Amino acid sequence: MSQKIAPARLPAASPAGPNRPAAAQAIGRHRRAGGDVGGPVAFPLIALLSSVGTLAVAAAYAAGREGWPDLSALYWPGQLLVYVPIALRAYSPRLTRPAEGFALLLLLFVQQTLLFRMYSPLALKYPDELQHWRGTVNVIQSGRLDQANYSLPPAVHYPGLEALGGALSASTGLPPTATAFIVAALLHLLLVCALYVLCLRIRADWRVATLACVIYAANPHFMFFDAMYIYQSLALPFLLLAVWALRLLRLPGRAAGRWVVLLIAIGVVTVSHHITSFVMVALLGSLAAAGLGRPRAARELRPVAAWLVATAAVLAWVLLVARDVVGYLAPVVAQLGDSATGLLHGQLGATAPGRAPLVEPLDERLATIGALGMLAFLVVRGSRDLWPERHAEPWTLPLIGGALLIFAAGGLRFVASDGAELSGRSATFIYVPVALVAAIVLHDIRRRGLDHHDTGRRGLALLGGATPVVAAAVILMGGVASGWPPAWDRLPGPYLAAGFERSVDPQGIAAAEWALSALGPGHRWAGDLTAYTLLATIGDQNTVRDGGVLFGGRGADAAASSFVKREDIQFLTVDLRDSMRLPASGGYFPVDPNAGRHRSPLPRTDLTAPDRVAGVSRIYDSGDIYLYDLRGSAYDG
Amino acid sequence: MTVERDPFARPRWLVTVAVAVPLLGVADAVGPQPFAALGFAANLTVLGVAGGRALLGRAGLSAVERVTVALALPIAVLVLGTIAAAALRLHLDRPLWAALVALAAEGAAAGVLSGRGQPGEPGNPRRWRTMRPQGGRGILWGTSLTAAGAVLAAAVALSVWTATRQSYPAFSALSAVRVGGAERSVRIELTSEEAAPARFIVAVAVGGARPDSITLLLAPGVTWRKTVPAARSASVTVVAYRGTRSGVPYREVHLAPGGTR
Repeated sequence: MSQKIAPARLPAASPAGPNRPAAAQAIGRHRRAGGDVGGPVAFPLIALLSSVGTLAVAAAYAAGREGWPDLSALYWPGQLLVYVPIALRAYSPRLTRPAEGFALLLLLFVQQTLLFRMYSPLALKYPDELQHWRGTVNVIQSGRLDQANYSLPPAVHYPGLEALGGALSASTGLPPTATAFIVAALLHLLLVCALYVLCLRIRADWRVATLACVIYAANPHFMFFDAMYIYQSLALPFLLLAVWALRLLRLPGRAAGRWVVLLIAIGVVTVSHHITSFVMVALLGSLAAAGLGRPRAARELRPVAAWLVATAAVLAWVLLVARDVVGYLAPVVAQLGDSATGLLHGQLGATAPGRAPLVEPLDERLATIGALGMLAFLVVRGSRDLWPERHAEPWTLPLIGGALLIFAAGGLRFVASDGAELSGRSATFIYVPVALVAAIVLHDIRRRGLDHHDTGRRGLALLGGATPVVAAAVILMGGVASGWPPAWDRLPGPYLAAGFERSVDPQGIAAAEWALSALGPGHRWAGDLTAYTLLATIGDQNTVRDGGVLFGGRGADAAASSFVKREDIQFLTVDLRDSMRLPASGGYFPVDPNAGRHRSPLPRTDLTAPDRVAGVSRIYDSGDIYLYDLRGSAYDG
Repeated sequence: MTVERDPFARPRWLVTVAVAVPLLGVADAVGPQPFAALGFAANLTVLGVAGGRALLGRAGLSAVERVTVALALPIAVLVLGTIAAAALRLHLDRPLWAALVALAAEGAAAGVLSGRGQPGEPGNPRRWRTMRPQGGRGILWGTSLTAAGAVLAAAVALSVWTATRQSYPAFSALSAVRVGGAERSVRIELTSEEAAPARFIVAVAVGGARPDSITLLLAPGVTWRKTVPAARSASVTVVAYRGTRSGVPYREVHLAPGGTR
C-alpha cells in the first residue's frame, strides 16, 4: 500500500505487540486476528438479532398505546438486543474487515432511527421538532427566511435547517412532516459518517473508529434528541466535518479544495445553530493553541487560521444577524450561576426546593452512574496512555482535555438545578472525545488480551467474556436512562398533563389549528405547557412562557391584570385536564415557580375563573379545552 | 492489489453528466412533480459526487470519506445557497432551488472536467473489500438478512398500525367569533370528532332574544358553520346539546358585549 494514502495518525496508545507492527493498523488495512478465517458470517446473524430487538421495542411502544402492561417490559430487553450484539462485534477481534465495521454502524443507525421514529411514526410530536416544522412551513408559504417563528424566535436567525427543509419540500412536493422525517434521518446518517471519518483521520485505525462510533451511539441524546429535526442536528455533523477537513490539510496537495470544504463546514455551522457554533470556536481554538504550543519548527498555523475564520464568522453572525441569541441563552447562563451559588451554600441543584428531583427508577439511576463511572475510568486510563504522545501529536492534549470534560458533565447532573438536561445536552459534544479515547483504550485492552490469552484459566476467560457484555449493556442503559425521553415518557400512550410529546393529542391540535384559521397568526396567548407548544407551532401564535399568574383562580386581580397588560396578552387557553392530573414534567407552565412542588392538580374553579370575569368571551369549547378572549375585559381594563 | 474503478476517468460519461444537469434542472424547475423530484435528486447526486471529486480529488480518501462528502456537499449548498438568495431578497421557491442546484452541479462537473488535463492522481487501491459470503454460507446470509428485513418490516407495521388506531377521547368543538368588517355578525362552528355520527342541538341567543335552535346530525370529522347577525353591543351565547333534547349543555361559548374585537 502506498504510504501517501495513509493519513497522519497519533502514535499507538501502547507499543505494538512483537507480532503486530503499528503500521498494520493503518487505515484500511486489516489483519485476521483471533483465528477467524470464515469471513464475517456474524453480520447477518447480528442484523437478525438486533432487528428482533427493534421488534421488541415496537411491541413495547404498542403496549404503551394499547395499554398492555406486560408487553411494555420488552422495552429494555429490546434496546439491549439492538445495541449489545453490535457493540460486542465491534469490540471483537473477529471483526476483520473495515467494510463490516462500517456496516455495523449503518445497521446500528437504521435500528436506532427506527427506534426513534416508531415512537410516533405518523406525525411529529416532539416539541423541538414541531418548532422547526413551523419554521419550515413558514419558509415554504412565504418564500422568505425572515418570517417570525414564535415557537423558537432564535431559529429565524439560524435558518439553516429551515432552508434545507424548505428546499427539499418545495422541490420534491413532499409534505413538511415527511420532509422532516427524511431530513432528520439523512442528517443523523451524516453525523455517523462524519464521526467515523473524523475518528479514522485522527487515529488511522478503522477498528478504533468503529468502536468510537458505537460508544458515541450510547450517549444520552444520540438516539432521540440528536436524531430530531432540529437545528443542532444539522450543525453537529458539519462541526465534525470542519475538524475532519482541518485534519485533511496535513496531507500534501489539494490544499485549496480542502480549505473550501473547511470554510463551507464553518459556514453551515455558523448559520445553523448557536451553541454548536460556539463549541466550534472553542474546539478550533483548542486545536490552534495546541498547534502553537509546539516547538517553533513544528508549529501548525493552519488551525490558527481556521480558528480565526470561525471566530470572525460566528462573531459577525451574532453581532449582525442573531443579536437576540444572547438574550435567549442568558437564562441558561443565569441558571448555571444560580446553581453555582446554591452549591456554595451546600445545596445540590437537583434537590433544591422548587426543582424536580431526579426521578429515575433506582436501576436506571444505577445504570447512569455505572455508565458514567465506566466511561470516566476509560477516559482516565486513556488519558494516561495518551499523555506521552502529546509532543508527537499536537491534537493529543485537546483530545484528552475534551474527554476529561466528562467529569464536568457528570458533575453538572448533580450541581445544576436543571442538571440532567444540561448534562445530556453537553454530552452531545463531550462524548466525541470521550468515545474516541474510550475506544482507543478498549482497543488496547482487547489487543493485550489477545497477546496474553491464557487458555488454561477458563474461569477467568469466561469472566472476561462476560465483562464486555455487561459493560455494553450498562453504557447503553445509562445513556438511554439519562437522556430523552425520561422514564415516564419513554413509551407512547394516553394523554399526560404537561408531558411534552405525551400531551400532543387530537384535541390540543384541533384547538391550535382553529386558533390559526379563525384568528390568524401572531396573537399573544397565555396557557399551560402543552398549549404553549401547540399554539406556537401548529397555531403559529405568540405564546408566553410564564402565564401561571392567570391560573391562580383570583380572576382579574392586580397581578393578573398587570401581567396581561405588560405582556399584551390577548387570549387565554385553559385545559381542564390540568384539574385532573399532576404535571408529568413537574410544572404546568414553561416557567412554573411551583415546579416539582405540585401535590394536587390545579382546582377546576381556578381554571374556569375567567368565565366569571367581566368582559371575557369564551370563544372555543372542546370539552377539555377552553379558549378565552381577554381583549376589552377586566383583565385588560 | 486491484485499483478502484474511477467513473470520472471516462470523458464520455462526464460529458453526458454535464449535458444532463441543465436538462434535469429544467425538469426540476417546471416539470410535473415526479419528474421535478427526480431531476432535483439527480442534480443533488451529481453535485455531491462531482463536487467532492473536484474539491478533494480521489487519492487518499477512503470510500466512506467520499460518500460523506457526497452527502454533505448538497446539504451545504442548499443551506448556504438559500441563505445567500434570501439575503439578496430573492423569492425562495422551486425554480430558485432548481437553478441553485443545477448551477452548483454544473460547476462541480465543470470542475472535474477542467482537472482532467492535469497529471492524474494515483488510483486508490481497493481496500474496502465487500463482505461476501464464502463457501456454502450464502444461504445463511440470505436467510438471515431476509428474516431481519421481515422482522424490521413487522416492527414498523406494528408501530404504524397501533399509532393509527390509538384511541383518544372523542370530542366536539364549538366556537364563535365576531366576523366582518364592522363585526356585525358572528360565525359559529361546530366540529364533530365523535366516534360515530352524532346528533346535536345548537341554540344561539343574541342579546336578550329567545334562542334559535338548530338540530344537526354530524359525521365524525365534519364541521357545521353558520353566520348569524349580531350587533357588537349584543352579547351572544351559543350552546350545543348532545342528542335530541336540550338538557345539559355539552359545549358552550359566549361573546361578551363589545368583546372579540
